[in-house]
Amino acid sequence: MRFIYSFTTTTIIFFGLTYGLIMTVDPYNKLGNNPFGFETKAVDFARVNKFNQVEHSKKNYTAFIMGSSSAHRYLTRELNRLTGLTSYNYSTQSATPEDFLAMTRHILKKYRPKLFILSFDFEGLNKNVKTDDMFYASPLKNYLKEIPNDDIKTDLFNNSYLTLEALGDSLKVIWVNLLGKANHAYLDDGDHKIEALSKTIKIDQFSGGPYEIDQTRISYLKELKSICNKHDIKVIALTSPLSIEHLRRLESDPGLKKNLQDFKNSLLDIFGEIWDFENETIGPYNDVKFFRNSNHATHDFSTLILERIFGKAEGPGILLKK
Amino acid sequence: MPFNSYYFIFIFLPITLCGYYVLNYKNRVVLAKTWMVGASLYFYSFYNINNLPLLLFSILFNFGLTSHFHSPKKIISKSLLLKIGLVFNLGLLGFFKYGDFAIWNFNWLFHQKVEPLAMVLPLGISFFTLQQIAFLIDSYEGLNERKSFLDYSFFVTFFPQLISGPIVQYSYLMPQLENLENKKVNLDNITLGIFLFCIGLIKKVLLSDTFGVWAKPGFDELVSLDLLAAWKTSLSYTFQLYFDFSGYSDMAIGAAYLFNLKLPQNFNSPLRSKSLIEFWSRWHITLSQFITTYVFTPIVRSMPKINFQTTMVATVLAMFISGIWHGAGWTFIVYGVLHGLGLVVNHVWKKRRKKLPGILAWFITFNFINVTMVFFRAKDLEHALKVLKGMLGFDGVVIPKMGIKSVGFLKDYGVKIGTYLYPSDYFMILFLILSFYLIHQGKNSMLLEKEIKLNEKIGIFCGIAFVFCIFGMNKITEFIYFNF
Repeated sequence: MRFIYSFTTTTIIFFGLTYGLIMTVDPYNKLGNNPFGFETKAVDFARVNKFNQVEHSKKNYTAFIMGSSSAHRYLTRELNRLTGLTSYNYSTQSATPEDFLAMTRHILKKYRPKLFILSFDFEGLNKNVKTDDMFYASPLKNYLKEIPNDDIKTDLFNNSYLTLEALGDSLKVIWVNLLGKANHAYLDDGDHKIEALSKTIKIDQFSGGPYEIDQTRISYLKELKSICNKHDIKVIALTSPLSIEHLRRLESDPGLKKNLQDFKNSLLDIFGEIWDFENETIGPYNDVKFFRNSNHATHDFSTLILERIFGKAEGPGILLKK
Repeated sequence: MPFNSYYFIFIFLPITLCGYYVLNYKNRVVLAKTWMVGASLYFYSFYNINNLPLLLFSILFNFGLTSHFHSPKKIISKSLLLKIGLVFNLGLLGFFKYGDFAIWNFNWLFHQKVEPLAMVLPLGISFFTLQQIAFLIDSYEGLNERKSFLDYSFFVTFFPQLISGPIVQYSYLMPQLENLENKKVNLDNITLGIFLFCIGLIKKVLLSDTFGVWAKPGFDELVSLDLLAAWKTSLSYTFQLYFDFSGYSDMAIGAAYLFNLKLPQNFNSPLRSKSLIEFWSRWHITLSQFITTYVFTPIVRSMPKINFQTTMVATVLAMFISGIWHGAGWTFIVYGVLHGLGLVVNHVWKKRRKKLPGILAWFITFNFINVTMVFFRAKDLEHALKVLKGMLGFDGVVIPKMGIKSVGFLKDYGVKIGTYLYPSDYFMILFLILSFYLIHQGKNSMLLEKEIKLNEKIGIFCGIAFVFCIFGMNKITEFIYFNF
């Protein structure tokens, strides 16, 4: 009897406390609660975190930025200023076209966007670069298919706050805001936190391995483009900027140089025009003010790129047309 | 409905339990049994009501047939009745479970294009068929007395064991039901039932489902796997399956205890086995017992001569049947045959009285199980080979980036340096360590059931774990053995 009594009372009390904690922290901003004045509630790794933000946000986003970590530092406020739209940065680490297609379907479930900015990494179309495991561990994977895969069924207690994820995210929100221990902290609208400048531009993630355009990924992009056409969404495709040293090292290999051209041509075939930031126009920007490392631009440089695309500044990049 | 659903835990189970005890308290024993049969049929129909007629038909047919064993006027001989019963049960199982597999092989072999039946496998058919075959044979042998239709229906449909076992014999379960003491609320049994159910729920919701997330991409989604990814995939599945099925069995046993009925244990720490023979005495125990009694022994008896060699042939055949019982596919056949051959090797080794050091014996046994589980999980042989190739390093070796310059020389040997570990990777490593600890040092539910003193502290632990499970149950994942 003692067991039953302690089991029952513990269950009731612990459930009340746990659920109460989640509701108070309100990690997905569903209830508008923020009694502790937390600076950010977006503290998970990007795919899961941003999926939840997009899923639950009350804002009516009309523009989305998609890309890998190289697109993390495009600030939505800058895009909003340049376009007059309300934007969200859906970029995630190691994103490949699988992510872009799944994100597109996920976005269209709730929003009616007018603009997509897609940032493509050279390695993102390489067949030898595998899809990030985190993609398959995230709910985004369910959106790769036209009809989302329902391998996860939701029960009659359908409530995103009655989940372990919500509990974990609540604890992370507290951890990050009170102790500042997050590896990656995202702000509202998918923006990345502002960091101190790097000391040098290190060559990072340089892959000299075999390169082959992945036709499956090409088919995903064609599907994405066709969805965008159907929903009247303007797509701006761009190649993710590489530091000049990274680019020159890459082009010093004739094979990789050709691969780079094939990569751009593949994108041109699909999108008709692309903004290319993987060329010599990047040369004058070889400074830590512009690059955190050889394939991650700073917030300032990301803003410059946006201004260049929308005709508000001179600078790097060339608009390639088919 | 799954045991790991809010509906089962908070609605179905309490209502069924209250109804059962209230009716027994009012001495409405027959009505109480009828209530349980009704509840069990509702439980079964919850998944797919279209399967209900098949279950009812199977119960009616088998009951009718076995009733003839006890009939004074025998129009048909007992042995013929047994044969009819076996043909019916195996035919039913064969038609629904192996029909399309046979057509597929026929088409492949003879280059034909026969349309598959596209039949949905009725839930629990493998289990309720085996249970009824056992009843049929035991009745033929005169081990079961004549029973009422209600009792028989209760035996087959009792919901905790209806869909995925444990496979229980009539002579084991029904005397407990007849015991008048078992019709009263027994707080000790309810305590034990809640405890075992919680243990099972923890295994399913917190362990198995977590491992499932790590196992799925490697088997179903990724085109190739490097060495570490392949091992991550296979180990995750081995633990997923173990925690899933043993968790299900614990929940079934726990739920049955709430009704004062004890079901047989199905798992006894199988992953700490030091030989394959030991493994099969610890893993899915009730199936092993069924296979031994109703498959292996008759095969041995049918042999012209009984000696070591013929027994080994019978072992491989029995394991082949055990393999294909799990599913209609070549992967299950390979799984069964590999285990059959493994058992033969183990018996030969045992006969030579050679002993391996304990840790080495465990290591070999565990890895054999882990490798064969790849066939058990993969959707076809091609996918199984993909994972095995990865496990052997044929698709490259990628080690996580650790910022240690001294490992740079590994690149010269074709080793690639990948990305930094994600928090989920650390989480997985932690889970693997925890699981290895649990399978070696943790007391299994069989021991816990006998030894643990269920006091307030255990109640608090179960309460906290139960709340975590409540939060984890929002994503209902099916039990793996529901597919068999």
